[in-house]
Amino acid sequence: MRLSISKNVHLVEPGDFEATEHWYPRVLNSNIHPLVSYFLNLSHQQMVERYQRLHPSCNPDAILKVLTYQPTYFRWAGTDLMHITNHEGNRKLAVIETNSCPSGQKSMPLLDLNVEQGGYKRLIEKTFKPMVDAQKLEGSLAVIYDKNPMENVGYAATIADAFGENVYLAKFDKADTDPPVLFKEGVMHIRNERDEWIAIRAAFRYVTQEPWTRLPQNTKTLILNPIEACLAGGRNKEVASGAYDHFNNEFKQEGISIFTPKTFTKVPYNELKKYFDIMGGNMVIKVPDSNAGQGVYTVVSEKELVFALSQIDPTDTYLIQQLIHSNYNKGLDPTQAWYHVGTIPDNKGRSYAFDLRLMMHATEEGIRPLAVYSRRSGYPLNQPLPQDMNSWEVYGTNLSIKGEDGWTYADERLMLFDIRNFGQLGLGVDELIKGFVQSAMAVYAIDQNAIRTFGNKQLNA
Amino acid sequence: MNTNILIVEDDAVFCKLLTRFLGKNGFLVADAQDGKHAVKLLEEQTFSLGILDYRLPDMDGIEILQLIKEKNPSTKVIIMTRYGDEGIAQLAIEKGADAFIAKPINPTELLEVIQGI
Repeated sequence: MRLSISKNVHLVEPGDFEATEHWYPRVLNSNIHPLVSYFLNLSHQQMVERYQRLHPSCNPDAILKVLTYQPTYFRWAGTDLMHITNHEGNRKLAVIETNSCPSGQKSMPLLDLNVEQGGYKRLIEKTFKPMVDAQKLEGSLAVIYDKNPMENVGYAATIADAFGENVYLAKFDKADTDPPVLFKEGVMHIRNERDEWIAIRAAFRYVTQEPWTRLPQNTKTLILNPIEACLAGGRNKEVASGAYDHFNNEFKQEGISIFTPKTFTKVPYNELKKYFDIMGGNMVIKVPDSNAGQGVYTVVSEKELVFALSQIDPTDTYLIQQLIHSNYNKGLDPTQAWYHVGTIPDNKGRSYAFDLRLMMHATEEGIRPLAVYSRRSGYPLNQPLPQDMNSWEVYGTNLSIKGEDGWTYADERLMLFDIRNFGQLGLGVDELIKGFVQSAMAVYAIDQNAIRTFGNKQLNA
Repeated sequence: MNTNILIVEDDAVFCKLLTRFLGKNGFLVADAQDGKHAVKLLEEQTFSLGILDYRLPDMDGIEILQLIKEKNPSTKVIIMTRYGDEGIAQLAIEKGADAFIAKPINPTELLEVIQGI
């Protein structure tokens, strides 16, 4: 590795992958739960058969069509799902959001102990490399990022190994007034040590903060994922919601649909109070293009509404979502209300809300699950919320914490899918299959939305 | 080797990678991404070696070099300069730096420079 070849650019060389640098320490010492390993190795046909047993009215051909789909734009994705139940005990995996630059490798135990690069290698060898090899492009390889160096250095080192060539690792920050990345006539360039701009033929992209401010559409450099995936819903909850509606309409006759909490889009700031009242005094307000738990407000009281209103821009519109409740409540509409299933109670009786992050990638055989982990909330579902505590403590599961010195994370709330943690989630293979099918449908919906918006062309061609 | 090192470099990834690399080679490493944090660390502890980037958002490496030498003249200092900044490297040596290394930096080469001073 050659550090700092220019400001915020490093050159990663073959052989630079160091496992200890690309996983959280506790993951390095973990062993994947056999049930999770079993799930990750199921064929599409097995998943379809099982999904249909669980949902007898669905058309298996429609599910297979989704699982074997070859996305044009959205070839790497992560969904956040929540395990929920209703008054009658019908459990579902609800799609909360879909992300076009998902984290997760550093939280995923190795599927095969003999493959040191784990999911990094599967993503690069089965998704990125085939895309690059299929096109005769000239230039170097790069990883561009604005967060998550642990995973991005790992991706750069894996790409260097997979291609046998050096990889530029460039930080492409929103606030950088002199960034080391620029586009000339659709081709990405990265600044080297001589202040020369090196053309990039293909780039792995983990640029999350308003990436549309610096990544153009229709680039000649091949990018995983291109900005079109973000604009079509991969980084905008409102656009994604429209894409899901379109999918549900298209597949109505097939008996499959993407399940999300009830959602209202484009709600003006001055109508948020009205929605709060209509929804029974609780809701979730989301800034459409926010991420990492920023710009999401759970509101269960007037006080929290006032706080949320003080934090958001009065000139914007917002996405309002039904709150998944902590506990059964007789006052709630039994046809509409959903509750967190929560973790298995610990030895102190505490059960926590959790989400499930499912990372997927497009392979030769279709969409495949790649990495899974969960994050739990900070405060239990089944204890009264202290008066001065924000409801986010009960419902919020994001681990990212923005501190004075940058981003950090709440390790104690990370739930690995290993032999130690997975059992605490109360999930089985059926839930993982249901969650994966929901996630694949979300990817299909957003990719189709991208095609409707930007055209059905070959990737970056 | 029981050398404790202060790295001052505003690129967080650079700091992390170098910290891990030097840590694996037996050094105790602290890092700061700007002059303010570097000064704070220098007030709290004594280092046997400082590896300083010349260009920082709030100070330059020469200013930190002078603070280090005022506090403890026996602390060794290596200044990191941009490719082609030979003038700055020369200035750093005149101001008391023990060595300089031009970016891009190969960690193994840096290790050789550390062992050579």
